Amino acid sequence: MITITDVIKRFDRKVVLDHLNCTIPEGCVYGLVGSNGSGKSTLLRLISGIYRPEGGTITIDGQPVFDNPDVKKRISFVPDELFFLPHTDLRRMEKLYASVFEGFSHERFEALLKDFSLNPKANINTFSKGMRRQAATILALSCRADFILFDETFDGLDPVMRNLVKNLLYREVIERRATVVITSHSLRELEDTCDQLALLHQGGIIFESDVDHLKTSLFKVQVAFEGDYDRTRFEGVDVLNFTKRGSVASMIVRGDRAETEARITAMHPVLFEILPLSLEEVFVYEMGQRGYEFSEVLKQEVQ
Amino acid sequence: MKRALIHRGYFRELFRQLRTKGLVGTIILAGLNLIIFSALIMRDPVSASVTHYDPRLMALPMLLFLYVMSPIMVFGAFRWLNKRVQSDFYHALALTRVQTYASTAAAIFLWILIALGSYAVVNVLLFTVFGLPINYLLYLCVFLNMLIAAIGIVSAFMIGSALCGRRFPAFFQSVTVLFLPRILLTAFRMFVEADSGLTTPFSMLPFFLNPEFNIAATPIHSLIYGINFANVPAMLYSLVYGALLLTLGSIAFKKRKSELAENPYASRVLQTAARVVFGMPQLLFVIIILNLKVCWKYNMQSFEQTVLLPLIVTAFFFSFVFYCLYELISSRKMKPVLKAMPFYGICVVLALFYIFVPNWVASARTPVSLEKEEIRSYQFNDESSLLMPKSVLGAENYPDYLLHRHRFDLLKGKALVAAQSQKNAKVIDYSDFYDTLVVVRNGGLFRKTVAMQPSAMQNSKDQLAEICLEDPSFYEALATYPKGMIWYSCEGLTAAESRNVGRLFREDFAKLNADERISLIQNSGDLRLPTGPISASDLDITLYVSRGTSNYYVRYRVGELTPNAAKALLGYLNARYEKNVREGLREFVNWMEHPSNMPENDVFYIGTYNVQTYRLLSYDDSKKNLTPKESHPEAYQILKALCDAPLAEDTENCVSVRFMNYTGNFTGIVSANDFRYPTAVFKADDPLMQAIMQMITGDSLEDFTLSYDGV
Repeated sequence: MITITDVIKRFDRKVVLDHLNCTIPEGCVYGLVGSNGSGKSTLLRLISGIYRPEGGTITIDGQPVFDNPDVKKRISFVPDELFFLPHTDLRRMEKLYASVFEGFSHERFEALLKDFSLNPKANINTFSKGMRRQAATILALSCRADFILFDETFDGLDPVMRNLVKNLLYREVIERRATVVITSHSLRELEDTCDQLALLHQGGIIFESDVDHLKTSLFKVQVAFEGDYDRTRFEGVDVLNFTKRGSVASMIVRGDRAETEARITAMHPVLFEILPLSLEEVFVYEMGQRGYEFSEVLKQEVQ
Repeated sequence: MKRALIHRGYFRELFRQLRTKGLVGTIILAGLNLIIFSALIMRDPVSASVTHYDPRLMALPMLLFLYVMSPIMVFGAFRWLNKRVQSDFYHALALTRVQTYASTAAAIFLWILIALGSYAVVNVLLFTVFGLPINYLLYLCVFLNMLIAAIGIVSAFMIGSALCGRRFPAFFQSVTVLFLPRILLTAFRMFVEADSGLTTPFSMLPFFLNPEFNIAATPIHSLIYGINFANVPAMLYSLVYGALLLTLGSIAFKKRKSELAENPYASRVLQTAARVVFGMPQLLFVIIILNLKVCWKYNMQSFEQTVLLPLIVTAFFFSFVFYCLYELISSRKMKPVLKAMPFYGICVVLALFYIFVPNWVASARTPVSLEKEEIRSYQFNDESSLLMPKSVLGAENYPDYLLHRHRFDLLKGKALVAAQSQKNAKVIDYSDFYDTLVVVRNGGLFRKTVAMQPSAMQNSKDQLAEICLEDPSFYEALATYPKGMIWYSCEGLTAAESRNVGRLFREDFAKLNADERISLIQNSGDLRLPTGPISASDLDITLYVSRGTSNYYVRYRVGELTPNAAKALLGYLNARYEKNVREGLREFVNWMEHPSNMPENDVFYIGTYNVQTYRLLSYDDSKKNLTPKESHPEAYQILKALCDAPLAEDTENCVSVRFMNYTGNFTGIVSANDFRYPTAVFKADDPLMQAIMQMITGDSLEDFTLSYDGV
């Protein structure tokens, strides 16, 4: 388990992470979402032991990460901007990784090479952006690390490769109970991948939740009654948003779906329908509840 | 969990990354080796002069290699520190910072060891295969010195790399770490010692305060004072100092933030120091001038009135510009330049420090007044050729070698030193700044070493030198055949011929008494040796001796006292050079008869080398109405007689004649190579020999003599 407690990170005088707290459980895919400059990459670099926090602690299973190879060997990090040794091929990178990461599996490496159909003897620096990311993914997954960190995971990958990478990550989680932390500024990208999601804004996590829970606990209700009515009629239902056009009201409701359904059915509506929300819609309403304007938090997404 | 300091896998990768640089460096160094060696061999194929093959000369390419390759290797291995993406990649590897640092250092050192080792092995093999003299112990010392220097130099660049995220400031901060302490100390020492009087010189201070130590920064010192490769304390000190720098580098690296990449510096203090280093050289001239004017009241009236003030203003202006330029280049922004400006005051303070403080220190020193009873011994300091690094030029003169190692305890000398110390003369005298110091060792239970500078000794040094031979043990040492590995060299002879002459000389030498032996020694520097009987037939042999880690040479006269060696030597010379000498003589005679036919030949040398009276014969313009034959009939007769004179077979009644003429106008000083004149030894009956000697040494050729009289 990754425990981040009260972490502060500054670059010169700019505070990038400000007293950030977060716990990432084992055996899940944890998504970090936030606009550019929100601190996602910084947080991943802190977790992978590249940066030293100016304040607070980052531990993995109780052990500090920074300058601690015993912990770092359990982490694989694929950054947003990739780097490979100059004039190198995958075989040489394999040697370096194998020598530095104790759990490196050559069998796994060979298998992944086949999956991605990459030439291990070709100069990596001649690869396309997508192929470079595939190469980095192969190396990261071959390390058999307990914690796999991906920054802008799917950047440059075509849809087929995205699916392949997603499936591989699922396998890592299911078969080895690995923890995968992925970041993206695109909520849609993480929607069907992550078990947990956290939203980073202005150096802190402003929202963190289980994705399934998010999706099931927040839903849209369309309802109509005979006669006039307003929001007060739904006492006992946690209505986050209420709009009414004519006799049909649309509500965003939080709570247990079955219980809400039973409660509204008991009111004898002439029209009653429960609709699922997209993750983005869920975020919009949750943010609104917390006093944030979603479009401000995820500018890129909206644009 | 205990971890290895050097991570094998990472070390292997780094070693591989440096492969191209390492191999190219090794090849270049080896190529340099061959070029220098070939040049040395080709330079003097006949003479066996071994000064050219001093293995210490071979240390220079190694030192150059270290200064060039260390930054290339370190910046090559650590290039990832200057790019954020790369820095993140390396810092994400499962290694400790110290492991990363140590593995990198190990890979660099291994390549340097390979390059220097290959160079040394090839060098030693070349010397050995070609049968050239080499002192293996000294060579080992040189090699160890270079390895130790490598630790210091590489470490300085590793510190610079750890402290900066860009190459330019990293380079300058490395140079600052490497040289700044040495520059400050050496400069301070020079300023203090420029004063005269009785003092304890800095050269006797221990460890870091002693500029002779710290081999990594040695060029700063050696440019002025020379290098001693066999200085074991210096080696130990440099090793410890290098290890300290390496450790400091690892601490800096451990504390370094990955995000420092692409930023100019992590340490404001070092950044300021580097700026100051960049801004100070422009002030050096001002410091010297003001030091002379303010502290020493040096008279520079006309200079003051005309250019002093503009010079000072200009120097400060350029110093300030360079100071700011450093910040601009390293930070690539204007704002830090503005912030750095107030700190230029450090340059001003430093300049004021060097203008005033050394003089205060010099003035504040308590003069030491010695009584002859408290002087245990006195010694001539081994800094006789301060301007010429002895280690590079090779050998020290044998009498000087003995002189500098001998502790004299002659009462007469002690009294002289004591009397001079009581005068406590403080004389400003630049001319003897680089002269010999006299070291006095005195004291009781706790020994004290006092150095008396030349101006404090004034003429007493000459008197001390004159009484040296009264010391029995010194006299005996001087009369003893040198010990160690000896190579013989006779001018104009091959190595094999020289060896043969040397063997015979040694046999002849063994039969002589002490006075005779000493009388054969030529050319002393500090020591006033008694001049032995000089014969016109004297030739010479030079012994190059390597003893322990010291090199020295001694030139002995070969003549009547060493008949077997002399006979062999003149035999070799006559066989080889008779034709050249006779042709030269005939040409000379021809010119004396018809100078208009050979107008370009207007300068001639004739002489016997060992009487040190080469005579430059030149046609005097004022006598142009006469031919040289008409104006100097005696000289003409003698030279004509010499043209057909029989050559000598032994040293009885003979004269060695060296002869050379210059074509064209001779205006400069003769370079060393020009002295390899053809020599032949003529058999001469007494009147002819006397006439020749008179011609060479006497006044009869007054009209022919121009500026050159004696070499």
